[in-house]
Amino acid sequence: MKSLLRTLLPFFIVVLIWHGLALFVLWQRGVPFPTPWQTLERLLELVRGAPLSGQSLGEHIFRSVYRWLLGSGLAAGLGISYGLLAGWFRSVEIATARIPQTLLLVPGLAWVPVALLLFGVGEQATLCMIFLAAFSPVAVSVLAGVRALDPALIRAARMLGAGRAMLFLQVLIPAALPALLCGLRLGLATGWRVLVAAEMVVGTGTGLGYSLIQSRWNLDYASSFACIVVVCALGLGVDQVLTYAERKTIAQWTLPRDTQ
Amino acid sequence: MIYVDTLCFHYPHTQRPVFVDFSLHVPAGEFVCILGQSGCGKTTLLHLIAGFLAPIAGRIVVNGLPVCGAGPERAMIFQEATLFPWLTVADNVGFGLRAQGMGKAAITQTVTAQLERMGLAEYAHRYPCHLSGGMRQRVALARVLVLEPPVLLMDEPFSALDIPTRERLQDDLLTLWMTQGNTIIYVTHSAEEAAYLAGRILVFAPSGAIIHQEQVCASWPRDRLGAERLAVEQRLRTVLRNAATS
Repeated sequence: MKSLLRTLLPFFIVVLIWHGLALFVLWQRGVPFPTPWQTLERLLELVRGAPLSGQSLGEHIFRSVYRWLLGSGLAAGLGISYGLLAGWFRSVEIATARIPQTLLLVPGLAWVPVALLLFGVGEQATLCMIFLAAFSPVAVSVLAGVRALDPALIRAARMLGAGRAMLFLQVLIPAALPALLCGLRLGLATGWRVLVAAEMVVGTGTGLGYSLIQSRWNLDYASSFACIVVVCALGLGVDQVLTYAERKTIAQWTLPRDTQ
Repeated sequence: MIYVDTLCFHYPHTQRPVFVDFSLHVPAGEFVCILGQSGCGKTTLLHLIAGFLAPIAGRIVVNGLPVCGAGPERAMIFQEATLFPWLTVADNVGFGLRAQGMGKAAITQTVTAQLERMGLAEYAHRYPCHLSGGMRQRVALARVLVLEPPVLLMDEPFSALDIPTRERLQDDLLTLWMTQGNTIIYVTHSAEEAAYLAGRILVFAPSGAIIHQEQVCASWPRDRLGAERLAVEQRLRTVLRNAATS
């Protein structure tokens, strides 16, 4: 009961603030601001199959998730590989570590001109933006995780007879796992944010970001808000998957915070 | 047998030598304790014998083979247990066996036997974070003893533990040593511990040279409060005090 309350309480707070804001905007500016209830009604219509910017909601979700998984997956794969490699080979780190650190400072939407020049309007430009935005958080986190590895553990493994492959696979990777999961979390979240923004501006023709901005042009604000709710729900879902992965791995071999 | 011949060593970031023409001979099966102030080179010597560091000059030969790199035949127990936190007790103890390429069934059998011998069987599936400091150090000991190393290098392994745990682990170590007959080099700050454990005690000067050597004739197990052990401890304390003031 307590945990259910703890889960639902933030939603109640958000809904309460949202409803209050909707009433305030209507009263102050005379503008119809969709309330949580109106948004839910519109969302249910969309779920039942009402068209949204020429497609079903399911199609928009599928296209967005597909782009996100492709772009973020590529960024995560390369970011993890880079972080492990640069952490393992000092020369690679010295030569390249500043690059992802610098990329980290570039806001996701700043890549729009680069992506458009490289790939033109469309799918590939969106993927390029997601990749560029999601790569750095993963790479920087994994590299930091490897660098934080206790040298005594490396010495212990070598003393026990571990070769380079065993050191890499059975010491370095598990030791970097907390940072790796943290980086994945950051990378996927950044990728998701950039995806929605990219779909708004790059002109993909489908996707949650695209339908969000199209609904706004059509003054169908309830649909825009419904898209925002879907974006949040999907983001939360992925976060839950990563939390589960954490619980199944690192949470087992670390003490809970309140017992430390 | 450990043979250190005219060893010279300094760390790369400093020109201050840790060892200059240092020689030491430890016959097979001997239990040697090294005492000395912090920074006198005790741990560095262990790291050189373990193969974590390479000498600038001189050579180290262990059981007829020159030391070049770390390996399980010269197992080291560190001050901290250095267990792999992502592995259970059983997996930690089996790590070295996996590195040797032993089969899964054989590893399970060997690890189970070792854990039972050391009274750790009930903790086999626990993670290190759920063990006390003393228990962790016992797992670290089990992890190297399962490899049956001819040489054990121990760097203040029990110094961070409370007195009852430390004394129990000292007794466990002596029992294991008397059964398996490993050659042990044991670094400690405690004259009391050295006088209780060692067959031979070396006291290092701050310069890294051996300033005092003492053969302890009393047989094991020794009486912690026995006159002979107390006399050895007293002599060591005097030597250490003189070394600190000179």
